[in-house]
Amino acid sequence: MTYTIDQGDAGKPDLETVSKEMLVIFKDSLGADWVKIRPDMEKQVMEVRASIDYINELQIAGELTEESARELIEFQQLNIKMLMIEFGGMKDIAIETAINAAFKKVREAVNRLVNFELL
Amino acid sequence: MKYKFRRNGLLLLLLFAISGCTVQLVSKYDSRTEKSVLNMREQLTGLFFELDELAGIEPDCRYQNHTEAYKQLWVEFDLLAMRERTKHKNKTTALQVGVLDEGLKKLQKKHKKACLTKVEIAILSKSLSGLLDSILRFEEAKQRDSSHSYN
Repeated sequence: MTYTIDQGDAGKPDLETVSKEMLVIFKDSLGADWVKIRPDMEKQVMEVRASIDYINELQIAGELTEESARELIEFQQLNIKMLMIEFGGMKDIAIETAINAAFKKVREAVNRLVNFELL
Repeated sequence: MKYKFRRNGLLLLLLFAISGCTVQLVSKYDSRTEKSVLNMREQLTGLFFELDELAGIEPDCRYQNHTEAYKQLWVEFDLLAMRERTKHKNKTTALQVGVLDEGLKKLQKKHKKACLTKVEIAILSKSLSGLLDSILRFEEAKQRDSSHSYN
């Protein structure tokens, strides 16, 4: 993904412009990561759901005892718990990436403002 | 007043950026974590493969005849757990390791009660592999390079 910062008068960005650009970058970065995360997470959740359905079918067919089915469902609950934790972690990484991308753009903007490599 | 707050906030952000520091919310990628998880996956696959072959064969399928495999799993797990809990900003992986701990304990408890059937083994294998895969996926996501995929 590429970002551009609008140049104000005299070709130098002001604080207001930079802040707006930062917000756009933040939103864009998060959006991009969500797009990456969402399909995989949805797939994992669907797999766990399919396993729960399968366990129920086996119990109805008499291939699993009620106790065993209950224990196996508990394992599926752990899988869901694990995915929720993973999902939360992925969000943290997405936020971190967005913040650092915004900081990088500010540094670049300030360097352009002073016309030499200050930062 | 509102403008003043907004301006101060922006100045603060600028100061952060000017200081040259980057924000880190999640610990860095650690190849040792990946290796430990892969080792555990290999050990689990070995255990389930063995149990599948012995399913329904008494007394070979009983827990008492597979304690060595469980012992190896726990040794690898303890190393992983100790390392992940002491790392800075590693909350997610530490929580994941906690869930894996629950899963392994449940497996051991279930096997201690009775031999596992082929159907149970297939479901348990998929579930526990899923737990390990989740830790692995998140560790790989920590690499944060632009070419990395979350899949």
